[in-house]
Amino acid sequence: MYFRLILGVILIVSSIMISKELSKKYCNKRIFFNDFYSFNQLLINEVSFSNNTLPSIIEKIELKTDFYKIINEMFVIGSSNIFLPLYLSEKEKEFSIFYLKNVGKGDSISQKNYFLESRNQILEYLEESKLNEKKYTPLYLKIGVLLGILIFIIII
Amino acid sequence: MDLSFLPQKFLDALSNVDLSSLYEIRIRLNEVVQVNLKGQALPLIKNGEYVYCDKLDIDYIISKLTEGSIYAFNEQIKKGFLAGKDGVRVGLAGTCVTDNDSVITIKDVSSLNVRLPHQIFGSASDIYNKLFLGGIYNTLIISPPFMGKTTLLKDLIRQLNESFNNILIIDERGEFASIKGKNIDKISYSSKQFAFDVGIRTMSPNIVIMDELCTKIDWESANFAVNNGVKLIATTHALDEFQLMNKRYFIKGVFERYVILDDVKKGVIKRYLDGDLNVF
Repeated sequence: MYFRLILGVILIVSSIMISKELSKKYCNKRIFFNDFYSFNQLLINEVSFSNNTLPSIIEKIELKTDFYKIINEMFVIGSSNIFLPLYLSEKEKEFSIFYLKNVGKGDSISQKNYFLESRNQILEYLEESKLNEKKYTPLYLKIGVLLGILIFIIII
Repeated sequence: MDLSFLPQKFLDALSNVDLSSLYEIRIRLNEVVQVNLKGQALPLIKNGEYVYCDKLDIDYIISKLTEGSIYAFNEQIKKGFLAGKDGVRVGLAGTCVTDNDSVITIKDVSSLNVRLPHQIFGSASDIYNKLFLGGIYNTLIISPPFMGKTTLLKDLIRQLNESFNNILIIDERGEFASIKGKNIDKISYSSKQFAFDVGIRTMSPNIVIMDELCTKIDWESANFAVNNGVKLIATTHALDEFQLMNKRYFIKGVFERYVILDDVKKGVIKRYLDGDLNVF
């Protein structure tokens, strides 16, 4: 009896954890575009007022998330290869690569226009990722719980 | 001297070159890189082969000098140069983007001229002993480009620093980055007009030093400084006093002494002139 109960709990917890892991991509994507948007805003301010170089801007940022790790690799370490996270769609990857490759490549007026132009697209991706996170994270969780219960019932 | 902004193939080839006799590195798109060693132009060679420059090399150099942030260096680019470390200056030639006749930026850079600063201690001793032992004369050093004006000026600053207070250097292009001293103040990377205006008001200099007096505004600013009781030491491009007098913006009376450098031998003084342009 106790064995079955423990097995059931293990099954349900495991399936919840798996579903959480699977839904993590939505959360990571939201964080990615959130950082992307903040970085773009920061650059708009920089080219308008301070004109600090990219390495000096980035060194003030905490490099914990995927997006900031990528820009650190590109603009501080100087790596020419960009490895974007797998949770981004092909379209999102294409946009991100194009954006990052053009950062710092022009005078302040053209860069400001470029950042302002990119802002809408980044915001669109951010809003979409927020919606997807809101929609799919609870769904994955529910499916995980149900799947755990189902497997438990089948085994018993 | 920090030349780390150059591509590795250039640095490898330069490893056999005596940097103390290297004055310039001329980098032109799809051409052999040239080095100027003690006034002699020679091709850059690595393992018996000429070193060529391609578009990637130029992009690499610009990216390194601007730390990947061209927008942050646009004021320098607009003036046709990028400043490296230790007073290294890189001249740019390419397509100028203009708006209402003023240059916004330079794009498609096709030529770079890396100019390496030199320090020749004692090179200005003759000028110092002749003109500055009893006080300061407003002095203009005249020579064609690349004949050692700036090197001479640097040594003169070092010597003046030992005897005079409050020397303000207007360092438009970061060429005097390595010059420091107990009596030296510096305004870097600003226009001469701004530096004169603000520097004279806020730093109360006794002596103002500036390189390359060229434009109408430069001459007017120099005149303004002298009329405000500041002593001025400057340089300008000209072959001799006759060419100087024919310059459109030349203002007679600004300078009390002129030093004409030799147009063949680098850093050699040809003659001294007084305020009326007479040899003395």
